[in-house]
Amino acid sequence: MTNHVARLYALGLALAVFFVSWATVAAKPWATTTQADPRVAALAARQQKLQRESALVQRIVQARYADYRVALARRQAQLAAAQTARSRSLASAAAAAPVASIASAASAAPVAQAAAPAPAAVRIVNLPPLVITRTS
Amino acid sequence: MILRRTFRAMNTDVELLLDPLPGIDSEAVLVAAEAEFHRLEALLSRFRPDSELSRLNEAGELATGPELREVVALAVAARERTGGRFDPTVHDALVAAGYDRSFEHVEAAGPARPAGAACGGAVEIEGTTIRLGPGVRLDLGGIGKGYAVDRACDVLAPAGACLVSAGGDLACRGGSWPVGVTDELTVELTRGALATSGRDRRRWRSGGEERHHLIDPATGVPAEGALLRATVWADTAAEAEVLAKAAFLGAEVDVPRVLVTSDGRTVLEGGLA
Repeated sequence: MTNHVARLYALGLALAVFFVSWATVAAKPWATTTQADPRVAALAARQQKLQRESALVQRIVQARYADYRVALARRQAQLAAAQTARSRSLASAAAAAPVASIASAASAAPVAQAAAPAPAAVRIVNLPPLVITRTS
Repeated sequence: MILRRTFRAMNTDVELLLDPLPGIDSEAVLVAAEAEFHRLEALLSRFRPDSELSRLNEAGELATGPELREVVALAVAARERTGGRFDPTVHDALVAAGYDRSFEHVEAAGPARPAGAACGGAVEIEGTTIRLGPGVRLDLGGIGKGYAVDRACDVLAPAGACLVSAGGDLACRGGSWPVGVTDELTVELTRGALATSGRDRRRWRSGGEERHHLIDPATGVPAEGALLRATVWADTAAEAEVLAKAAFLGAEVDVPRVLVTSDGRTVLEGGLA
C-alpha cells in the first residue's frame, strides 16, 4: 500500500517536472529579441508626418474657401443692390423722358459712351479662375 | 452648386455654367441653351453651305430671318463705329489667306497662295432683305459667336446666375465669376462680357509664311502690329468681340482692357484695377 502511494506521488512529480520543462523549452529563453525593421519605422514616421501635413492643408483650404464664399456673398449682395438701384433709375428715367427708340439712341452714341462700363463690372482679383478668356 | 455643361459648336468649345435657383429643371435649361447655340450656328456659319449666311453670300441678296438681319445690322453698325477696323466683309480676305474651311481642316502648313482681298463693300438691309454689293461676302464668325453667347445667356438667365463661354468669348448674367485673362492675371466679372482677339491662336503657314485669322480690313491681309492679343470688356459678348478686334488693330476703345504685347508685356487700360 505504501509503495503504491509512493508511486502515485512519484508519477505526479514526474508529470509536473515534465510540464515545467516543456514550458521552459517552449518559451525559448535562449532566443534573442528581434529588432524592428528601421525602414518600416521610417515609413510609419513619414505616414504620420504626411497625415499631419494633409490635415493642415485641409484646414487652410477650408479657411480660404470660407473667405471666398463670404466675399462672393458680399459681392452678390452688392450686385443685387446695384441692379435694383439701376432698375429704379431706369424706370424713373423712362417715366420722365419722352419715348425714344433705344436702338436709334444706341446707334447714335459714340463708341466710348455706348460701351462705358458701370463701375466694378470687372476688376482684378486674386482668385483661381473658374473659366479663361483667350483668342477664340 | 454650379452646374457645368460643355459641348462643341461654332468650331470651338462652349461651356455653360449655371448656379440654378431652387426648383429649376436645370438640365432642361442647359439643353435649351445648347440647342440655341446649334440653331444659331446653322444660320450664321460660313462653312455650312445650307446656312442662311452661305445662301446670302452665294446669292448676294436674300430675304432672311430676324437673327441674321440682327447680326448683320450689328456688324455694319460696328464697322461704322470702329472706323472700319471691324468689318464683316473680310470673307474673301480670309479665304485668300487660307482660312477657307472650318479651322480644324485648315492645313497647318499649306502651299503658298497670294493673300489679300478688298474689304469694305456695300451691305444694305431693307425690310427683311439683305443686299450685298458686287463681289461682297460676309464673315460673321467672331460677332456671330458673341451673339450666340448673348442669346444662350438669355436662355439661362431666368434659371439663375450664369456664364456662357465660347472658346473664350464669354458673358455672364448675375453672380461673380473669376476669369483668367493671362497666366498671372484673373479678373472678376459681375456683369457684361469679355472677349479676346489675337494672333496667338488660329495660325497656320502658307508657303512658309505665317498667317492668322485676324484680317486688317485696311490691307486685306492678316494684321501685323505690336500686340499679341487684346481682351476687352463690354456690355454684351457681341460688342466685346467687336471692340477686342478693334483694340487689337490699334483702335482706342474706352473700356476696361488687357493688352498683351508681342514681347510678352501685359498692359492694363480703361480703368481696370
